[in-house]
Amino acid sequence: MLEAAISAAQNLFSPGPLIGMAIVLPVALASGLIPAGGLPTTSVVLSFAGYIDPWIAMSIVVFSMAAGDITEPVPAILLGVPGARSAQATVLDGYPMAQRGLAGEALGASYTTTLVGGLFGGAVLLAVLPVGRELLKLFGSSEFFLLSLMGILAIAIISAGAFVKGMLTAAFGIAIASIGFTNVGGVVRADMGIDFLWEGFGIVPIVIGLFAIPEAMDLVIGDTPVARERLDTMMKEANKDVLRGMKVALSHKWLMLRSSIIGTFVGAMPGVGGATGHWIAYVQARQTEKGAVDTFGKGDIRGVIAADAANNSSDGGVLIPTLVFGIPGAPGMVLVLAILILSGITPGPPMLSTHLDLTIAMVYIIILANIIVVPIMLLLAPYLARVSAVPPNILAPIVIAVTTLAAYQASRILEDLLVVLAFAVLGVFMKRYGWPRPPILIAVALAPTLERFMWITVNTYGFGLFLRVQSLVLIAMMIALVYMALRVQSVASESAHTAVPDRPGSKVSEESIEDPS
Amino acid sequence: MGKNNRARYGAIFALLAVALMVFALSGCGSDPTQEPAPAPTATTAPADTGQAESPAPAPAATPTPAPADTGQAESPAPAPAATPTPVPAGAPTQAPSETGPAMQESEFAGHFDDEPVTIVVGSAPGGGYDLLARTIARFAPQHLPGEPRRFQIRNVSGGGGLRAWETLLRSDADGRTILTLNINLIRQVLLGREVSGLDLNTLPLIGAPTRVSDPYLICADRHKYSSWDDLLADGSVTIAGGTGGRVPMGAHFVELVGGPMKTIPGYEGSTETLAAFERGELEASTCIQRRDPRLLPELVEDMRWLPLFWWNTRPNQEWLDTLGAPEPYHIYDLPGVDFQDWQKTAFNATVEYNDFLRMYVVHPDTPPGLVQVWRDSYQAVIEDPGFIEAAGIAGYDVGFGSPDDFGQVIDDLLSLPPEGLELVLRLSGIN
Repeated sequence: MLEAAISAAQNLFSPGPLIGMAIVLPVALASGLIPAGGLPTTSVVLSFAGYIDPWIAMSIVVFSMAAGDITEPVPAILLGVPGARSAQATVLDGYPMAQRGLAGEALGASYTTTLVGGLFGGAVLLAVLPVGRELLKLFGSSEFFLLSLMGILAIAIISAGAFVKGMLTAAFGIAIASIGFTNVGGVVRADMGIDFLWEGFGIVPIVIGLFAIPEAMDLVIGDTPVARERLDTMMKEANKDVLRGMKVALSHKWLMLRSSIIGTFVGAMPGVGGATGHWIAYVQARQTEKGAVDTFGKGDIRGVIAADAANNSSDGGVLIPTLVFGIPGAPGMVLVLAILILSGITPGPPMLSTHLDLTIAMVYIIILANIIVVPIMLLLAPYLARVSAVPPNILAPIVIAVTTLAAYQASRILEDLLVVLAFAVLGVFMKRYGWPRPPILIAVALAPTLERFMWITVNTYGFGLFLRVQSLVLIAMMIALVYMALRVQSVASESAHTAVPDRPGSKVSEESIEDPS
Repeated sequence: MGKNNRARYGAIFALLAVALMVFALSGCGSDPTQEPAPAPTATTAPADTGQAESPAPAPAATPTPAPADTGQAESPAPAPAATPTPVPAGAPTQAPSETGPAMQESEFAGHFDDEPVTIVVGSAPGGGYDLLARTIARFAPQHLPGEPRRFQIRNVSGGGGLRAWETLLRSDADGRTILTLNINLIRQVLLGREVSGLDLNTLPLIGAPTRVSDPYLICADRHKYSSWDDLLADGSVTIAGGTGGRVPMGAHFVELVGGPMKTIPGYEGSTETLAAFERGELEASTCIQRRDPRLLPELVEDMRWLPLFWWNTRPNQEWLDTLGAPEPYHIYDLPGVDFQDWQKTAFNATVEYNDFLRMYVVHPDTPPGLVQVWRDSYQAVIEDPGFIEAAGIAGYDVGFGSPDDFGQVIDDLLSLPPEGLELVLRLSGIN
């Protein structure tokens, strides 16, 4: 192991991989900054795999993915546009903070916690590599199903106070996710005779339509920048805000640690991946942090900390099944496996023997990406925070143009622009009339995984699911979460909670999920 | 300008931005992923071209289900026992050129020099279709006339392969664009769906890369069963089916006729399947000599595999000796399972059809001479030792499937009675 670790360092810190990472760094930064977008760096590298040294290829790809994930919270916080693969829960508190003129603080907290989460995930990956295979064997499809279900249950938790609306919109999201060619069963479902729908809806156009366009429209119609408070102070004290955010994050070290553990653990579950971890981390923070039930979703910095720690720690987690089993831990990992194969390397157990040095190098790359990118983002944070003060008539068209381009770029299917338009209309109405939008996003992101593992679980375990200790622990956790959510719901009903509109022309001004009625 | 007016203008401007973007992009093509020009001598040809004896690295773990999961395995191919090789029928596609390959090569020597050759792939980068296409792109240049140096992969996902097919139809019929046809599209046609320009009888096929007479062997978990009789007594032995309609065909066939197998769809790829088997979640799986000793040596060393039955060709004796007793049955000889003749015919047709999962086609209007050039070149690529080795690493046994063979397969499929065609579709994972 030590020998492989030294060999990994020698190979990684040679000119080829270093130059590769240096070249891809600005691309990765820009990629994450594009709302719901991302540049196809990995796809480009895929074209060269087999022709270039696998060390260079893997350096570029893993560095690019890690760096891209690090930058994804920026559009979530500044523009209210969740990432397509991560930084989705970040939007719930990050954007309201930006609206209150606290974008710098949110970014400072986000990047501090991102660094901690990333380093934690990398360290865990390094530590469990020798036993990762045996550890993962303890968990089966029933646990993968329950974890996916727990992600969906996050809807119930964060909808506490608007439970019915949350559930209805989640059901709508699952219905949308059901359209198209089914992974299980091999038939086309609910295509309504439209060939385009054979493939179903992509998540990127849904995110952009549902979040980016309505937020941009709202800015223009309200004729206010994102930040509606502290405009002068924010411009002058951006550096201080960022520092304050860093300090606040560091003062919540246990929250960061808990969320990082959740992110890494859920990320390591094959197929469940990073899309679920940050939601579960967010929910646990909401249920366990003092007073969080009342303040989460309204700009509580702890919501940002919980979501982003899990968000970035999952990078290490998803590599565990990818490397030790050759099973993609998350959708992006398919490309990592493809590049390995095209480079003549067999993923799976040989990665822990023949190619152990390359495996360890990937851990180094994740850690390196965090060490390099996070300070850069912290330096940029005061300037990025000022985006929230840009006049709406300048910011909105740019956001709409860039995100629309990102929607097209993600699939290069022209019809996806119509999907953006349709979801934009839906998003505007949902925002206007106080219907929560995040449940649709959660449902669309998790429904395919949930359906796949539900099929497997029902057919293989049946009621045997309730005889597995691992499953019972997860079921108990879910029952506890639902109980707490229902308790909050009943309290909310009693107090007849109403939201106070604070933006002209908008009934619900914050990306709070609570029912304003 | 009043505040309300500004808001309205802003909203209108925002909408215009969207409209402008839609308009601007409507004229855009997709950005093809360039395959760098490989040096024609870049291949590392192994000394032995036979896959079974090839020292190629383990092919198992792939990001998408390799054909291994549906039962393909290693070893040289003795004559198929259960599924006879079809006799080439009348040309199902375009008539080949009257001229011989050498003449055509000289005629088209400079044809591929001016513009890049594009392989359209109907799925996202990284999947099985994409991997194989990129591997073909690495080796194709040295086998095409003039050894063109510019190859590119164009991923056009969407519509279950429909968009990629439409992309091919919109391209020039000059042989510079080929398509790896998505099997889902063929299945939809077999289900009776109209796909513009796609006629299985006149499909402009240049070949398929995965036509291999492999031995398919199903094994159960010896920790749970000791013989086929145990399985019969149990009545329901779980085995992984894949996603997107991929199933281990023989096991699913046994299940459909009432045998003691239960296919569980949803597993993605052979690595996920083996991991599930290893942790005891599944009770049976395909067992493959080329894959298992490398990916999960403990399964072989601990004698976890209990050989049950095979189809297509008999597994080699060395592998069976490694697995230990009992001697597996041929699928049609399984005790307690009765197959009717029409069911066997449908199964045989499905096995043959499955060999053409990743077929390559050109534009239907491509001149016959160019079609023939492609067929010759494509066959040379598939038989290139360097390609065989590279595909092996990706988890694919490769062998050239000719258009004539495919014509026979389609004839067989279309001549089946309705219940036979339905069985074919169910064996293909469509429920």
